[in-house]
Amino acid sequence: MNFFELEAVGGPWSRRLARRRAGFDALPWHEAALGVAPEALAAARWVWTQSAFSEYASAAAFAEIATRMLAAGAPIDLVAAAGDFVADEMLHAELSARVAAALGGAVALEVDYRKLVRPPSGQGVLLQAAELIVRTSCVGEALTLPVLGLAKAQATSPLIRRVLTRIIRDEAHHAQMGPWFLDWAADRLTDTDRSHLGRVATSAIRDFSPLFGAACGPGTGLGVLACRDYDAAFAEALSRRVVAPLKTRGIDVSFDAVD
Amino acid sequence: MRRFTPIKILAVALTSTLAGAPALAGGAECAAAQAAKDHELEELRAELFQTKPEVALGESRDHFRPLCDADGFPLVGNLMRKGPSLIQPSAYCAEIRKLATR
Repeated sequence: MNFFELEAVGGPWSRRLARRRAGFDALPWHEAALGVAPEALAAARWVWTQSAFSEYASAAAFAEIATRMLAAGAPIDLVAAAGDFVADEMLHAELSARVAAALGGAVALEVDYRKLVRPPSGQGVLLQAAELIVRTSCVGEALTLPVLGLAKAQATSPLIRRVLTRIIRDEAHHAQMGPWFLDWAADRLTDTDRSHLGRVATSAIRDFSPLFGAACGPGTGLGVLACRDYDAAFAEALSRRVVAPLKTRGIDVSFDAVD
Repeated sequence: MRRFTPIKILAVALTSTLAGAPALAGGAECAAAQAAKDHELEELRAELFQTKPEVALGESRDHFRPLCDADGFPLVGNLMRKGPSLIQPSAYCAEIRKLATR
């Protein structure tokens, strides 16, 4: 185990990202923490540190997806997008980390860099690519969008609002990749494959279930949501953005397992 | 051979003065670190350090962990938007393992 840290090497490698990072340094980094109660700051630092690592792990997932897509002979523009999403997620990790720093510092997050992406369990390169895409794009990214949208709507800090705006802009594309890939692969996947993908989606959703029903803290306006708001947004997103699009493609989520 | 001076974006300071609490990061040498030098922010930070760890961080002395599945792989998606008092990640992983055995 290691503590989660991020660093950049600079030089030509930072210049390469200059266009995509345009405006980052001009964000109002000094503003977010001013006048905020210590408890609210602590909650926000925890959430934004978790956010930075989530983005880092998502980068690993898209890198794995790009590799599996290549092996499966997927369309080159889809493969290129998956590779490009790695850079998106790295920039989101940077933004989240800088927010945590601006709020007083990140919390100590113990991570295992050798275990960033759950390996697919299906047989065959196409099903393995589809499995990763269902888990990452059709579930994770699809659920992320409305939750971050709500956090943005409730943000009282201009910095938080602007950072979330940038992240949401990119995540929308990440969530779209899944349905596009499944539509391309539709004739190549069997009913057995689709049943497997349904179990994968169900398992991915079920993993979030301990988030619900526990004691609840208040929202902070710094990207931390109150339980009631979070739960409602999650449930709505689950039904409309995850279950329905998958069902359209013959992939059924078992609600018994999700309840 | 090049000599690198990496730019720290997120760092953990293991020598945190927050007694008994998980270590805090604060040494990021980026634009955000400038904010830490702001006088008002320093006051806030000092106040935070005086807060009980359980209150400030909402968890025990253990280091934090990311949300994970039954086998310890991180969950995909930027979905952890509830405050730390809600759930302890170590307890979360234990809960996930229980679910997986059902």
